[in-house]
Amino acid sequence: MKHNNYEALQGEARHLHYCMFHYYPSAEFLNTYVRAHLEIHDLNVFDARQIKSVKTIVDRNLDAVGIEPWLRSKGRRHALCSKVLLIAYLAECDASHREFKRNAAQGKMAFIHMALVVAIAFFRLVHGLLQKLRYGLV
Amino acid sequence: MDLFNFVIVGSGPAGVAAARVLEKNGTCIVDVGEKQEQEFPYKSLYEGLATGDLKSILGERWEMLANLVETGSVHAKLRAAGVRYVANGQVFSVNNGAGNTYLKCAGSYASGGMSNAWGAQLLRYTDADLHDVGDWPIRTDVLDSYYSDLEAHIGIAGTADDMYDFLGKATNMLPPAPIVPAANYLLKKYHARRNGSRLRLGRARLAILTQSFRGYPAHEFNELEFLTTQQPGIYTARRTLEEVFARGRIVYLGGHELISYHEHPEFVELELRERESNSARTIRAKHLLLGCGTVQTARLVLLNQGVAGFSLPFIDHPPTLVPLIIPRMFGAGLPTRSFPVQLVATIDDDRPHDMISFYYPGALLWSDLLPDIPLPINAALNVLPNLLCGFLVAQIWEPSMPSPNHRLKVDYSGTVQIEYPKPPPYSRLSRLLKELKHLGAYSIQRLATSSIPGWGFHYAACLPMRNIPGKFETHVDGRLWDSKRVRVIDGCVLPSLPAKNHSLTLMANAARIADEALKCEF
Repeated sequence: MKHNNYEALQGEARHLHYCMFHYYPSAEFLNTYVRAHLEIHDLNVFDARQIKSVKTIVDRNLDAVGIEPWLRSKGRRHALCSKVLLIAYLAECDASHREFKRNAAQGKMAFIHMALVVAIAFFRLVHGLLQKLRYGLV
Repeated sequence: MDLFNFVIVGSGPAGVAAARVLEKNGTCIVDVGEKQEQEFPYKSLYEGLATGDLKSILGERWEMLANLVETGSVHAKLRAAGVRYVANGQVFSVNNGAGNTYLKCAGSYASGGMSNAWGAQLLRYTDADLHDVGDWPIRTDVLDSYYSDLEAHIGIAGTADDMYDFLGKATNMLPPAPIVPAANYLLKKYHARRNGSRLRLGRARLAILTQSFRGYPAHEFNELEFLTTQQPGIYTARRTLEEVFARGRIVYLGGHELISYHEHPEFVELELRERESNSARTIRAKHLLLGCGTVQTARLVLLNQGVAGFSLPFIDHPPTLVPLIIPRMFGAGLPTRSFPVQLVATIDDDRPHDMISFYYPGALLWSDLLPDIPLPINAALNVLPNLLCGFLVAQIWEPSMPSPNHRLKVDYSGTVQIEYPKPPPYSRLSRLLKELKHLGAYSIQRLATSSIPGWGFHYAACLPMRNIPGKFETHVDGRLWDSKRVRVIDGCVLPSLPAKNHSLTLMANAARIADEALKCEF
C-alpha cells in the first residue's frame, strides 16, 4: 500500500473514531483499521463520489456520525456507513472501549438517559444533514 | 465391489434418523462429512469480547464482517469462520422469477448437515397442521411413535403450558430453557390477561439440554450460536451420527460424494467420488435412501434422470421479522447468558395457524444491531444497553404451500436455480401487533422486514409424497415414482409446510421411510 494511502486511512480512522467516541484511538487500532482495508476487498470498491465524500468529511473535520444516517440505504452500504460500522466492530472487539461493556441497569434512570441521548442525537442529525447539504455529500 | 443392504446418503437430520433405524442391518452412510476446523477458543461470547481477541471473534479473514458493505450477502448465522463449513455444499441461486438474483447460497456437505446451524426448535406436527396446508398423504398418528423415539433420543426442553397442544404433545421433556427478563415479563403479562387475549403464548420447545442427559452435559447458554457449531448442549444430527458410528453397527464412508446412481433389478449401483483424491468408487446397495438435503437431493434426481432444464416445485419458509420494544423493561439489567429462541406464540382463532418465535439477540455482536437503529451510531450505542433489556424480535412463520411460481431447476451446467418471487407481506401483522401491545410489547408495521426467499432454510416439496405419485413424486414409503429401490427421506418429500418448524417431522418421516425399507422383502 502506498504510504500516502496508509496515512490517509489512518487519518480517516482517527477522525471517524473521534466522531464516535470523542477520543482518539490507539496506534494499534489505527493499524487494524488499515489492515482491514488491505484485506477486505469490498472496502476498496466504492463509488468515487462516495470516497470523495468521505475525504471531504475527514479533511474538513465534519461530523461523520451525524452525517452517516442520512447516507444509509438498503443493499450496498455507503462508504461512510461501512467505514463507521467498521470502527464500531473494531472497537467492540478490542475490549478497551468501555462503550461496549455489556452491562446496563440504569434502572429508573434508563428512560431519562435514553431520552437525553435521543434529544442530543436529534440535534446531531440536523447538524449532520446541514453539513451533508452544504458540502454536497452523496 | 461393496454390496450393502442399505446405503444412506447424507448425515443431516434425515440421514441420521434413518441410520438409527437401519443400523446393524448391513447399512452404509455415504457422507461428504465436512467438519468444523476452527474452534472458538472461549467459553462464552462475553468472555471472548472481554479478552479483546479480535481475530477469534471477527475471524482471521474478517468472516464476521461479510455483510459490512453488502448487507445480507451472508446469513448472519453462517458468517463466522467456525460455521462457514456448514453451507459449503452445492451452490444454488435464488431469483425473483424475473432474472434478478436475491442470493447465492449452498447446501451442506457438513457432518450433521444444516442442523449444525439450526435454531434447535423441534416440534411435532398435528393433524390440524396438515389439514391447514393440505396435500399430505399421511396422518400424524403414523409418526407418533417416531416422534416419541426421537424426543427420547435427543432430549427436548419444554413445558406443558398453553402452547403444548399447538407444538405437539411431546413426551418426557426436560425443564424449559431459561428466558431473559423481557420474555419473562411478556409471559407474566400474558398469564395475567390470558382470557382476554387472542394470542397463545408459551415457552419454546428446543433440542437443548437444560440438564445433563444420556451422558451429555447441560448447555451453558453462553451465546456462541453465531460463532461455533460445537456446543455439546445443543443437539445436532452429528451427535447421532457419532453415536451410531461408535456402536460399530454401520459403515461410514466419510469424504465421499454421490455423483450418480443406477437402479438395476437386484440392486442400485452408486458412483461415488472420493473428494480428497478425486478418485471414483462404485458401491452397490439393495436399497438407496437419499437424504442430502432438499436442494442437493432434488439436483441429484434431476441429473440422474437427465432432465436438465426441467423444474420441480420448491417451497421455503422465509419468515417476517419485527422488532419489539418492551419499555417497562428498559434498564432492567442485561442478561449475560441466553439462547436466541425465547418464546413461541400463535394467534388462536386464526386458521391456518402461523407461528411466532420470539428471539433475544444476545448472541449477536452489538455492531450487528447498530445500523438498524435510526440514530447516529454513537447514540445507538449509547441507548443499546438499556434498549436491549426490553427488546425482542418476533420471527413470524406462515404455512407454505407449493405455487406454480416457486420452482427449482438444474441448468445444463448442473447448477441449481430456484425461482421464488417474494411472497406478499404478512397479512395479519396489524392484528399480531395489537395483541402484543396488550402485553406491553410495541412495534410498527413499517419496521417489519420479510426475509429473502431462500433464507428460511426450510426447504421442501421438490419430490412430494403422494398416494399415487406421478413423475417426480414419491410414494408414501419414500420410493421415487418409478423405482423399487431408491427412496427419498429428506425435506423433498414433504408436500407442504405448516407454519411450524419441520425439522422433527422430517426426522420422524425419515425414520418411518427407513422402517418401510427395512420391511421390504427384496
